[in-house]
Amino acid sequence: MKNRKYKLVKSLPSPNEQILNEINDFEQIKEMASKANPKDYILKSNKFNLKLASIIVGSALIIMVIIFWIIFNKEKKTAFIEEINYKEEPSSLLTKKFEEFNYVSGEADTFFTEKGSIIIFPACKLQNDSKNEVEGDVTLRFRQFNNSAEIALSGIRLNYDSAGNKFLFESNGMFEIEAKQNGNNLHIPADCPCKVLLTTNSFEPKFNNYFLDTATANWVYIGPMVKEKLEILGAIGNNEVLLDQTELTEFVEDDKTPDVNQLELPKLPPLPKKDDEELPNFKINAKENEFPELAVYKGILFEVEPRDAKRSVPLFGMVWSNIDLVTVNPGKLYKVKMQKFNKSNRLVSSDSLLVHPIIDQENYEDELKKYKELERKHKLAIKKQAEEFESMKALARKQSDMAAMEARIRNIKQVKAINGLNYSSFRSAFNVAYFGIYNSDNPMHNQNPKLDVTINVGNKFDYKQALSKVHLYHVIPANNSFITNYLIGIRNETLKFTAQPYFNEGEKFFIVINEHTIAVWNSQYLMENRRSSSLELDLKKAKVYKNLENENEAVRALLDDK
Amino acid sequence: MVDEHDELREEWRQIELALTNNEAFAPLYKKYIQKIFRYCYHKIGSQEDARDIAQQVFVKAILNLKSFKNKGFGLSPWLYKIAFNEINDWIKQKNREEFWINNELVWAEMGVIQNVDEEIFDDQMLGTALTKLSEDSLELIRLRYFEKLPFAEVAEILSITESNAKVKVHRTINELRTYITKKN
Repeated sequence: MKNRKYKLVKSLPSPNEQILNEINDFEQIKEMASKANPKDYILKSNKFNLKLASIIVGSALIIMVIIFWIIFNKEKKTAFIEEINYKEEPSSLLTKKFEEFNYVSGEADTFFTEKGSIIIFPACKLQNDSKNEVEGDVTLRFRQFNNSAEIALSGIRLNYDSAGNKFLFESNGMFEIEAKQNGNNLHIPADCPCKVLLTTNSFEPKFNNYFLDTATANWVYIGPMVKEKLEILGAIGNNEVLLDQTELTEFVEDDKTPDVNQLELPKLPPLPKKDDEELPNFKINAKENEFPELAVYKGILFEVEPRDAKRSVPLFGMVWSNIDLVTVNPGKLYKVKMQKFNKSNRLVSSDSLLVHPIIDQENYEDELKKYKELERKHKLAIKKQAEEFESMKALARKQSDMAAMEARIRNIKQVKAINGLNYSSFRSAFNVAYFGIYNSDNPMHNQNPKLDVTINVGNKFDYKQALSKVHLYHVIPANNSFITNYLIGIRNETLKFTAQPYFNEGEKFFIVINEHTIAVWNSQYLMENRRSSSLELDLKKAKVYKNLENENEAVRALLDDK
Repeated sequence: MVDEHDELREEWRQIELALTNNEAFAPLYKKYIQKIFRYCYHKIGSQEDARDIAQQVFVKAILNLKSFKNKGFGLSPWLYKIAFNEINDWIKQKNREEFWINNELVWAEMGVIQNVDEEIFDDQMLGTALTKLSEDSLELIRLRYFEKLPFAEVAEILSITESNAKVKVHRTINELRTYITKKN
């Protein structure tokens, strides 16, 4: 850095208001950023430096030559470190069993898991691979991982890559949920997520929700942890409580009181009157499709309303070019519009009369009988409708009672207490839009590793072959959740790698040798062998658990080891 | 180990959001713009130029956010580092040879030296002593005392180790004491 001249000033004036306003205007910066050509804004350290690049390439070539020379000229091969591709998915080592529930697709339902988590489905039908809705019984599968051993053995990846920044887990609890029908995977419909209220290890606000995107093999940030409170009604024995889950009935359909207006009422056309001898009447051809209420009866005529009777007489003597019938009150009152045009088709006169339909004398008795029969059928239909309505109301009441009963049944469910889980009235709420793996997590930044770890495998070690690629886990059980893993390759007798520098009493390392064998170095051994920046592990000194038959044995081996 | 970094975690979350949406950078901008402007202003003595440089720093930060690597400090040292480079570029462009040291700041912020030897302390003299320092040493003093940054962040900005930063600051203060003592 070139030396420069410095001038000591007594004081610099405070920035003026305009300048302060300008620098506080983020919109201006945003606009500048949006219009800027990114090539002009490359950071200095990122700019390509030909001279530096030449030095680096040259140095790299020299180093490579030296490495090859060492590898191919040494009689005994030295330790080899092979960092497996970060993206590579760890395999499932011991399979944790799913809990299964029977769910009817499309129905609102709530399920309670062994560990006290709650799964709530709204009334939406699940979909198959073709996005078609499915009906009927569905097998819902759920499994939950809370302690470090369970998480490690699940084979779920323990790394999080956020835009190139690598993080390690400090999981507060994970779960996997899926649904199948006839062995086929089902999917949650868009915009109708289900909800999982997860029992977790802790309810500190530091955790976020993540979903494992299997396509990119990375976790997707969903949002911050949302705590959902369930009112505790009372304690039952040790570590068991009654929870008021009435609010969980939100997805149970409400009392469906039927609306009588929605029922289709049978129609009865009014009986037209008998003719009045003092009122003029006439016949108009009323089209059946326009006036269905008149088509029921034979011998329909139209009689002029008393108020128009006198003035109607001269109108009957005129010749009209056009006569239209318009409904005022169906079956009861109509308007007759009359128009007269000259030869030039210009309107020269128009008028209208209010009329009502009547039945001529010849047909009246027959049509009266027809009306009586229609009226009888109508009354029967009304009665039937009333009965149907009552039946619907009874069904709705029954459904409502059932929903209330279900809610009461839920309220007396006992929540089992399992060590390490938070059985307070809080649950961590997840909106589950896709079936898959979810995580309540606080990713810890993967800082530059500082601890050099060496594992002496030994010549005669039976598992040498199996150890060609191992998972090595660092379990920090302080809050029963923090765990890191290292997916590494091993060759010859020694394995070397670098680990996180965090290392405290109570923590342990373990490797999963095969699906039935785990080697654990306990805390005391680790503390005794730890140096300031290195740690040596001897596989002969590890406690090796063989012939582990199930995940419970494996978890016990990892957690109970003193 | 975890709880004391809550603020950093929140900042990291904001950075994550800003990676996909420039709008989400607003809280980070609000948090740091005054500090970066102040750093530029006290270094070059011109409000208008300091404003332009500070704005350039943030445009660069937004456009290069993907290359930001969290080393456990948050955004602060990265922004100072960009500002440091921007000011150096500006100096080269303007061909400037004279720069400012605000004696008010010296008086206010460098009590550490003042307290050591009160009898001989004279703020004007300390300011003058600062003008005699090498640019590297003066930058250390600026970042440590004027900007009040922790040693770890100072080290990150100047691409040296934390212990090296501590040693260098210690030596620089001794250098200043020696200068003041001699003058007295």
